Amino acid sequence: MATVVGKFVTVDFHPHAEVKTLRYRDLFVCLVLRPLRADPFRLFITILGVAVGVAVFLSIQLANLQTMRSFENSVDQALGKADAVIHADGTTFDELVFSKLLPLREWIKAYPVIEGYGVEQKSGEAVEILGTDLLRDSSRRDFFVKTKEENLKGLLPLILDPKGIVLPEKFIPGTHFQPGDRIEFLINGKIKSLNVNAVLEKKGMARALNGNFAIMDIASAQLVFDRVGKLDRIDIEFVGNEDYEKIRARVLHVLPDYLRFDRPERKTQQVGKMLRAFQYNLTALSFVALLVALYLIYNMVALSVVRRRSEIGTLRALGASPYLPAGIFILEATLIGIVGSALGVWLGHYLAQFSLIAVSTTVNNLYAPNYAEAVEFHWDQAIAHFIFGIVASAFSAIIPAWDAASTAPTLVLRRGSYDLKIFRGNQSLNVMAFVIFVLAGLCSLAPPLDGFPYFGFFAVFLIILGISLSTPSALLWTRDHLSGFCKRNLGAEGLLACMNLSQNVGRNALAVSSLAIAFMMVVSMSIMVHSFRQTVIVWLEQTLQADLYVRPAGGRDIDYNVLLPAGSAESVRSIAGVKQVDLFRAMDITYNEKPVALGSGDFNALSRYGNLVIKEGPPVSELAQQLVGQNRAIVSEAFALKHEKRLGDVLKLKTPAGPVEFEITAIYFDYSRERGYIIIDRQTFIKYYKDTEINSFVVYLEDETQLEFVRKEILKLFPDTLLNLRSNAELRRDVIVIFDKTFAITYSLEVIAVFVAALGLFNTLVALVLERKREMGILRMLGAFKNQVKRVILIEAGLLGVTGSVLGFTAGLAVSYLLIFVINKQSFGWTIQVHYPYGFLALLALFFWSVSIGAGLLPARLASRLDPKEAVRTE
Amino acid sequence: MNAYENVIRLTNVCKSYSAGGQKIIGLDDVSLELNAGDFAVLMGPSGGGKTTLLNCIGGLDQPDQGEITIRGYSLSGMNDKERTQLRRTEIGFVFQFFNLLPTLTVWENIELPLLLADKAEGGQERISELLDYVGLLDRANSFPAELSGGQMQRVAIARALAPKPFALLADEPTGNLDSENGTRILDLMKQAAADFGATVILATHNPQIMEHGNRCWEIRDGRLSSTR
Repeated sequence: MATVVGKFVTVDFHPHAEVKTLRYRDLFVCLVLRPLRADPFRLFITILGVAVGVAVFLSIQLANLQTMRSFENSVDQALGKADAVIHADGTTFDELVFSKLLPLREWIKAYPVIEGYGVEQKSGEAVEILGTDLLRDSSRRDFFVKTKEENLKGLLPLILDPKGIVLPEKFIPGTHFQPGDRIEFLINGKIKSLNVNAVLEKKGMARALNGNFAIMDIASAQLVFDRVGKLDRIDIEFVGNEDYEKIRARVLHVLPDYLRFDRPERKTQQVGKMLRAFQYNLTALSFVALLVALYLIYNMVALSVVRRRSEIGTLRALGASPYLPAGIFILEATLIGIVGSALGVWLGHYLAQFSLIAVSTTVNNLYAPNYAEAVEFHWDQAIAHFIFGIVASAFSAIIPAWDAASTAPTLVLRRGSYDLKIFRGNQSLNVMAFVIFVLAGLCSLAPPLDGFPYFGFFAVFLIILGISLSTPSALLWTRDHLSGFCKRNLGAEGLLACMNLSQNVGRNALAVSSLAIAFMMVVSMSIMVHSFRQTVIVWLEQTLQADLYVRPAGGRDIDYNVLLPAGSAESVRSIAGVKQVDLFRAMDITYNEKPVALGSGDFNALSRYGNLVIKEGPPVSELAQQLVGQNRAIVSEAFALKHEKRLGDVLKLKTPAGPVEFEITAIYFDYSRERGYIIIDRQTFIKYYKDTEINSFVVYLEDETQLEFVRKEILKLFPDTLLNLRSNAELRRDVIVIFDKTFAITYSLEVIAVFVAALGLFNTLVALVLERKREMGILRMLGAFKNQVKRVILIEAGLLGVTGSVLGFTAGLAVSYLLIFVINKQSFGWTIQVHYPYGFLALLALFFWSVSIGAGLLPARLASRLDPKEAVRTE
Repeated sequence: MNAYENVIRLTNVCKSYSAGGQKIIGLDDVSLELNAGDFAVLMGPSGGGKTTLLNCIGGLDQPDQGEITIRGYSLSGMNDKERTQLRRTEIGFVFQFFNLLPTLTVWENIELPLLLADKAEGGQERISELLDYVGLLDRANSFPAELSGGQMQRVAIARALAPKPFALLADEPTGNLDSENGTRILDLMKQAAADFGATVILATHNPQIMEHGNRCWEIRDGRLSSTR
């Protein structure tokens, strides 16, 4: 008996031996794995592109998720087991309200709460401080206290010490406070030195807010926050199983009108809604990077089909069904997807940390304090992204796989015939592109759904699709209109490069589409951000008229719970050189279940010295006589749009003095808060809200040169309070700095999209060289120097880049209008004036063109090194 | 004797390759001389060394030993650029599979060598003349995909003749054509060689083609033997 071992077949030479057949595993190795291994560099590039695309997409999702989770955790943990919350919507209320709930003890348990912020002085971090009835709360809130002494002896100082505070074991990183230590906070502009009486063990509530919080006994908190006799909220726990609505009705019956009774998750839902537009924008941007990466797979598989056409023909001639070649290439793409997605998931969870920092910065600056510091990543979170990456990769291969399946074997086996195909245009593609662009235009006119610009985003997606369908025609157009120019100025190399645009147009079109989409993203975002920036700068110039802006130190400009007594601010008027002082107070309230800022100021001062950019209504100079002492208000554009209010409409507000109606007298432009403002005169505000404190004040000077003198005099008037004093120029600068930081993450996403698109172009050019080996060989045989062959590739790269840039620029313009007039408008309610960053756009075009040429350098070198005789070999 | 009478001379040329760890003899001590206007046929089986010989003459390959002289100039002393320059102006190639550039029209394919040599200006007359000569003036704006095999090969011949080369190297030019077209192409090449004063070396495995040449060699396993 003899054994013959072939590549796939093992045959035992035995009279009645059974011949073993090819195993599917062998077919998989030979037809899928080996060809992939034969082109390791391009395989690596494709996998890298997929990995980057998946990583970026995943990292943004993780960052968004972590941001929301940190809000949920903070609310859930801080609220303990609360079933509902009583609050006064942006302000405090009398603690006597608490006693009104006593008759309802059969149905509810009530827990009073003080909440505020302090800036810890060693680290400079903002800390949320919760004042609660520590003895009663221990049964409700999930915390475990470590005191200096055991049991009651340890707990008593917590309750009796008016400066006692409890910190979580894992407090701000870098700090190590123990019971018995002292800690200093900046609260309402004053340094408060507090005693660390206990530490919360690292479980339950102690994990809230990433450790950036502390708890005090409620009486101590009232003292520290100057809220003696006041409460911020009352947490409600239901005793029995009674329905929420019934209990709500009972409670509201005994409470003053202006108090609200809400579910605890309402706060998270509000934050979620506020962040939704911002997070969706980021998701859309990250999706572009992923889309561009998927084009890479299409490219790779499409080239594979071309290079293996004779193999496909042979397989079909041997009896393989069309499904086999199709399956080979889909498997190829799936394998790339598996490796790329796995790598992407791994990379994504590292990138997520950077994304989180950028997202948190924006959320902190514009929305609400956020303490998410680290991404809590579990591998099972990434399963969906991993699977999506694989499915999308396989999907990318459908068209080339179909091409492989429908290849006629006779056509392929006859050498040379397939290579002659050139693209002459496809009317149906052009018609489809046109229809899609028209549809995009129609979508741009559609209103928002539930306050969200779904149609706007869909219009952007349609434009991307339309660009992809238009690219083949764009290549043809470039060929037809530039071939003469290229021939005259760049000789044979220019002619060849130009005419080659219509060869392998499917793959060239994809590379150009990727570039165009990446360019579109950068152009549209640049125009939008620049327009927004210029609009804000002009608005600041027009609106900020005061010379000095003063508020308590610590916290952000939009933290309305940081207060100053009005009395000291009033005495600023007596400083020599001060022309006028305008006091400002605001609070975050709810209107029609949406968050709004209610503000108040001195309209006499505003009308005489200040300015607002009025959209509709009387000029600023006339506002004083309309609003002072009247139940009238002005609203910001964002508010008017979100709540569909016009001039003359009435706003119904619940105030501590009862419900009040305010007529809208003017609508003004404002870019400081996305939630929008309702502004009433200060006297009116005090009348109804019984609140004389202020958040900030502005000073108008007789003479600008007096600025430093007045600054010093103001500081003398507030000896115990740390103030943040900024001149007009300083405030403008700070606003722009925050603005620029907000868009940092979008810049990063754009860079990544460009990188992946450049990878795609590079891959295409390498494919072009490998595929056109024979052509390169012919050129060399006809007498082309190596440099000439290089130039053909470089010029072609440049032409592809120019085509992509022009398409991308055109689409970018269209998308910028969508961003400014549709998406931004419907999401945030802001009117943005269009400004073009001409210089930057010119540089950008140059940069893109350079990237294209750069992507061609290595392929050009590859082409010039081809051995011409090997390239044209037919045997 | 005129120094250029022997326009192509090979003296003891040897060339070998490595393939799969084995040494393969491409050319084994090959010597030949060709005069201006010769129509030489090189016959031999697949792998016999025909293409290797043409590549060496065309400056695409360098022999391991021996010398190749073209119009008195030795190829051994030339660098890649110089050999390319030679191909650009002195040598034309015709291939079995035509090797026209699919994205260029017939006119542009013929113009290509002139463009590469930066001699396109004033070349319109030459191209028209060549197109007329090969009978394809009316197809000047067609693309290769729109032509038959015979037509494509005629374009390839016109392209090869465009820079007025002194030598035409044809590797199986009729291998992809039917017999009728193949004969027409051979006749065209012979006529072109006579009319344009080019020396032709045609490699083939078809013994019938030997009848067309005034000089014939057989090459087998790298060894050349003259039959005429």
